[in-house]
Amino acid sequence: MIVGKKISAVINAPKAKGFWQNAYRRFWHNKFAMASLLLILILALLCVFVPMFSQFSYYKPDFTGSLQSPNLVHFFGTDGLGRDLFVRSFIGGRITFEIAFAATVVVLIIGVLYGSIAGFLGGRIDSLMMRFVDVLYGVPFLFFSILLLTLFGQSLMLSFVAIAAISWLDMARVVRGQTLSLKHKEFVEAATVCGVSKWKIITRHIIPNLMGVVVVYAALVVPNMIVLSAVLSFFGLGVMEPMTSWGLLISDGSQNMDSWWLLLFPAILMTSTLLAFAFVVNGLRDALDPR
Amino acid sequence: MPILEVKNLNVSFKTIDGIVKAVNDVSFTVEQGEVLGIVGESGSGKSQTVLGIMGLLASNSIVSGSIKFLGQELIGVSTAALNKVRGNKLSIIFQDPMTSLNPYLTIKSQMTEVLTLHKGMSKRDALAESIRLLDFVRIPEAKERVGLYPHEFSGGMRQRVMIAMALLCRPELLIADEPTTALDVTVQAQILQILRDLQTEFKMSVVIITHDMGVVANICDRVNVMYAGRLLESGSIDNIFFDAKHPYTQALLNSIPSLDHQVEKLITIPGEPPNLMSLPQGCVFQGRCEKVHNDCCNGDIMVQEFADKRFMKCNLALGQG
Amino acid sequence: MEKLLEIKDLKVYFKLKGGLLCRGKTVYAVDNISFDVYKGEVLGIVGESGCGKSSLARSLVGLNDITGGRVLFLGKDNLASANSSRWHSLRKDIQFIFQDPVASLNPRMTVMEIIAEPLNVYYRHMSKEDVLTKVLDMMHLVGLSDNQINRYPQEFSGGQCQRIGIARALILDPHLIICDESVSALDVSIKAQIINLLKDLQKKLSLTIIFISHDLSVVKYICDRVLVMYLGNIMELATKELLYRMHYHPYTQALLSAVPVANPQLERNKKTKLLEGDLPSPINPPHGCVFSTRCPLVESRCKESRPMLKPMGDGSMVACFVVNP
Repeated sequence: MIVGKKISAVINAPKAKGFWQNAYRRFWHNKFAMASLLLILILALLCVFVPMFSQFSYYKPDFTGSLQSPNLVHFFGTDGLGRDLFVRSFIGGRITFEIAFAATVVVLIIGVLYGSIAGFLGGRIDSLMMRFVDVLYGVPFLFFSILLLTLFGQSLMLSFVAIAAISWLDMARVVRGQTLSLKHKEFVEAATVCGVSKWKIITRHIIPNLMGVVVVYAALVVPNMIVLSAVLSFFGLGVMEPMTSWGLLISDGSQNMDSWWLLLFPAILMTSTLLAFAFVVNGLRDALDPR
Repeated sequence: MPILEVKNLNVSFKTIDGIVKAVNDVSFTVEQGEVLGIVGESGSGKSQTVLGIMGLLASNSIVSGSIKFLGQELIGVSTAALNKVRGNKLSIIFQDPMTSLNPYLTIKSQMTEVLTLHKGMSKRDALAESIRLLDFVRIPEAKERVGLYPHEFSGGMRQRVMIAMALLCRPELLIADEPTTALDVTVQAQILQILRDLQTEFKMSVVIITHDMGVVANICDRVNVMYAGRLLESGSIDNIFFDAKHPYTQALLNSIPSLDHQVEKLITIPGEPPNLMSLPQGCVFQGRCEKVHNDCCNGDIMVQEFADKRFMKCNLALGQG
Repeated sequence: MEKLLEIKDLKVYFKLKGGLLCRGKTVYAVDNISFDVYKGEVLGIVGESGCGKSSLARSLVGLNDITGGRVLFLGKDNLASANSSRWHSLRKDIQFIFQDPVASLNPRMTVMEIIAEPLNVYYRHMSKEDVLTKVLDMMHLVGLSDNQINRYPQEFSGGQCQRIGIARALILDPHLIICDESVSALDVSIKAQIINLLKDLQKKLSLTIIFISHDLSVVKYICDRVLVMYLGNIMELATKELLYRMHYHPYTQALLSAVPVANPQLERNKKTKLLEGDLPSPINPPHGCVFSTRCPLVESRCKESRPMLKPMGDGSMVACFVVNP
C-alpha cells in the first residue's frame, strides 16, 4: 500500500522540462526558422496531396495541349507531351523528398552507430574503423553510382543506396569527434564507476548526448541528399520517365529554354526548399547548442 | 576625493527566458591606496560589478547608475573615451591569465608594445621597464625569460606576468577578479605577497573580487559583502570579521571551516540563493535568514549607516534578535 | 582496526605519446606509495595540483590503470591485477564522488534514472517498486524531496547536483567512498551543507571515506587521518590532531602557513613561509627527495636518495631525513 502511494506520488511529481522542450521553446522563438519549417511542411503536404487530388495525371500525355504557358487550368503550364507541370512538379518533389529522407535515416543510423562505437572504444579499433572510412572517401561518388546503376539497372532503390552509402561517412566522422569529447566527461566516468557496461554507456550516455549535434547535422544532410539526387537525375541516372524528380524536371527544362516555365517552377521549388532547410539548420543549431 | 565612486549601479541582462538582475542598486567608494575586497558566492554580482566598471559587460546588458573614476563618469561614454581610461589609469587582472595574454606573441613584444604605443617610450626603455616589472613580480631570471611565450610559464608565473602587464602604465586602480582562485595555496601566498608589495610600493588602490574569506582577511582593508546582486554590508575587515552586523555575513563566516579553530558541526545557511530572474520583494536574503520578519518581505530595505563608512542593508534594528 | 585497503608500493605512471624523433616520456603521477585505509575512518589526502592525489584516487576505482604495486581490498582482492569482470564486482563496493557536480550527471537523464542506474546494473531483477522505494529512501537521506524525482540535472544548483551524485554513490551500500575534490566547486554556504551531509552520512552508515582535497581547512574539519602528498610521494601521514599541531615535514609547514585564515588579526601577525619556485615536472622529478628543490631545510643527502616514511614516535609518519623525532 505504502509502495503504491509512493508510486502515485512519483507519477504526480512535476515532470521537468527536459532538454528537448527547452530546445523547442528556443526554436519557436526563432521566426525565420519557424517560417522555413512551415514552408517545408506545406511543400511536403502539397507533394502528397496535389498528385492525389489533381484532375491531371503526371504520366498521361495530352498532345493537344503541349507546351502551354502557365494559365488558370495549368498553373505551371504543360510540358512537351502536354502533361501538367503543376502535378509533375509535386510528384517530382515527392520522389525527391522520399529519397532524401530515406537516405538521411540510413545515414543517421549507420553514421551514429559507427561513429560512436569507433570513438568510444578508441585505440586500434578506432584507427581501423576510421581508416576504412578514409578508403570509402577515396571512391569517386559519381563513378560508383554510375557503376551501380549500369550493373543493376536503373531503380529508385539503387540510386538511394548509392547516395546513402557515400553520405554516412561525414556523419560518422562528426559523431566520432563528439564521442571523443564526451568520453572523458565526468558523467561517462561516473557510469563506468557504477559498473555500466560499454554497450549501455554508448546507448544510454553517449548517443542521447550526441543528439543535439546529430539533429543539426541530419538537417544539413537532407538538402545535400536533395541536391545529390538531383545531380543523379540530371545525368539521367536514378529516376526514370514517366516518373520524375526535381532534378529531372530541371534537366528537361534547361534543354528547352524557350518554354521558360519548364525550368523556372521546379527550380524555384527546389531552391526555396534548400534555402528553407538552411534556415532550419541555423535555428536548430541555436536551439540545441545555446551559448 | 575617492578614486572610484559607484552610485546606484544596476546591471541586468536580457535573455530569452527573461531579465536577469545581476547587480541591484550597488553603491560604494574606493579611496586612494586602499585595498577593497568584494566577496560573495557565485551569482552574487561581484564580477558583473567590476565588469561594469571596466565597461566589459556582455552586449545584452542594461546598465544604469553612475560610476565615477577620478571624477570622470564612465557610464554612457564612448568606447574611445573608455579606452583612454582602461589599461592606462584602470587595469584588470583575471582568474585565467590566458584571457589577457596573446599565446602567439612573446612576453617581451606584448609588454613593450603597450609602452611604446601608450607612453611613447623607445624600444630600449620599454624593454628595461618590462624587465624591471617582471623582476618586481619576482619572475626569476626576468632578463632571459622575457623572450618566452606565455605557454612556457607555469600557472603561477603566468599570473605574475599578467600582474606585471597590468602595471605597465602605472594604473591608479587595479581590479583583480578572482586572481588566485585557480592557483594552489603556496602559489596563492606568493601572489598575495606581490599584491601587498604593490600596494606599499606604488600606493595603488586595489579592488579584489574573491569568494575566499581567508584572502580577504589576508590582504584587504575594507570589504563589501554581496549577495544575489545586492551589497548587503560594507565595512573595515576588523568590523566585518569580528563584529558582523548583517545576518548573511554572520552566517557566511560561521559556515567556513577554519584552520584556527575546530568546531563539531558547521553552522550552515539553509536553502539556496534566489533566482536572479525572479527576486523576492524586499530583502533578497529573506528566504534563508533566521531573523526574518514581516518587514523583510515587502517594500524597501533600510540602509543603516555607522561610523567609518560602514553600512548594511537590513531592516533588523541593532540590538534586536 | 580492520584494514579495508592495503596499498603497497603503488605506482601510477602515464606514458606520453612520443613524436617521430623523441621517445615517449613517462609521467610519474604516483610513485611508490604505501599506506593503509582502516574501516570506518575518513582519510584525507591533501596536496597541490599535480601532486598525484587525483591519479591515486582514480586508480582505486579503475579509471586509471595501476602500473605497479599491490592494492588489497579487504585483505584479498588485488586491484592492481583485477580483470574486467573482477572490477565489475569490485565497483559495487567502491564508489566515487566527482568534483564537478553538474558534469558528473548525464543531462539527458532524470534524477530517478541517474540514482537507479547502479541498481539496474547490479540488481537486474529487482522489481520496479523496490527500485523506486530505494531511490526515494536515498533521496531523503541526502536531503532531496520526492517531487524532484522526475527532474533533470540542469534544473538543480551545484549543491543539489552533488546530493544526487552522493545518492548515486551510496545506493549500492559500498564499503568505500572516494571523494575527489567533491566540495571544491561549490559555493561557501553550499559547501558547508554538503560537508555536513557527508559527515552525517559517514557516521550514520559507518562509511569509509577517502577524501581528496586541496583545501586544508575542509580536510581538517572532516577527516580522521591526513596524508600529505607532493609530486607523487607521501610527505607526511598522521592523525588530524597531530598533523595540524605538529606538522613535522617542511612541506606540510609551508602548506599550512600558506592557507589564509578568515581572521584578520591572525593574518596580520602571521609569518608565511613562502616556498620559492614552482612544482617540478612529474615527468622529470628530482633525484632524491622530491621536495629537495624547494625545501628550506635541504641538505646534501636529500639530493642523493629518497627518504622513506619513518615513524616519529607519536604516531606520525614523515618522509624526511632532516626532521627527527
